[in-house]
Amino acid sequence: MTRSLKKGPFIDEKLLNKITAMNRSGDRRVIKTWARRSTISPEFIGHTIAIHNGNKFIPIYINENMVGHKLGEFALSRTYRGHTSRVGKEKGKR
Amino acid sequence: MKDIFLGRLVKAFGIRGELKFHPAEDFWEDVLGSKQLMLHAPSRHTTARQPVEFCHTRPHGKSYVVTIAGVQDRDSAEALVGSELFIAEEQIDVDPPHGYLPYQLMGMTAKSEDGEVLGELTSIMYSSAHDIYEFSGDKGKFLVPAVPEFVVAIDDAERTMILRPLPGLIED
Repeated sequence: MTRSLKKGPFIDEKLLNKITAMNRSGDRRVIKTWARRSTISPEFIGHTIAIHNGNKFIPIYINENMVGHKLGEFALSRTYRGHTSRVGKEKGKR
Repeated sequence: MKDIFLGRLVKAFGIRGELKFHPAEDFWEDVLGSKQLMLHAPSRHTTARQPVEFCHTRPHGKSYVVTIAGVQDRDSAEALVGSELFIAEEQIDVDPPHGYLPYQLMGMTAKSEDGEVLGELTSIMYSSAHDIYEFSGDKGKFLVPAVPEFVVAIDDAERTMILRPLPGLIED
């Protein structure tokens, strides 16, 4: 079920406050965040946000195409290492 | 002579000798038309590589379905499953890729605009946003988004990258 339009997008308040302050001062630095669920709003454009993936912070440069997506979409938290080969499986059976 | 690993033949496809080819990170599409491709079959317990030529290739999702000259039935195709495809860097006879391939960037030295050495490129991570370079140096490991705002210039001859890191990107 989609989120109610009445509520508007969820944006992490602390993160938004930091970015608004930086936009006001013209300052630029990397912001670390755990708020993977936060929606990217237009204020984020041009900033670099280090998003935690459960292990480390992944620095992501925000551009206009990312607006409306969640931060977590850009810092993958799982590593695909491939499936076991058929030969490997047969060896395991023996 | 440096060999570039292009990908692996992962399984036979159909009954006419076609094979499914999974491209590696250093693959670019034009290379499939090269006459200098080499195939290494691990099952043969040898390091020797044999030349190979693709008669026909077509994309199949993120992979390719390829037809190899001389391979006309499924049994012959299955004998090649697991083989790895290489090309020697000096023998590339097709259009080079647009931009840089990962093997060209690995090991490059990162410098700041002031000339300070920051580290060496050790790995490349892939994100749906952009690539991310992982450097390792005196200040430990650090990640840099592979976008022009951070990677200002790349010098092929000196194998250096000029970075413009923001405060907070490299931890002291």
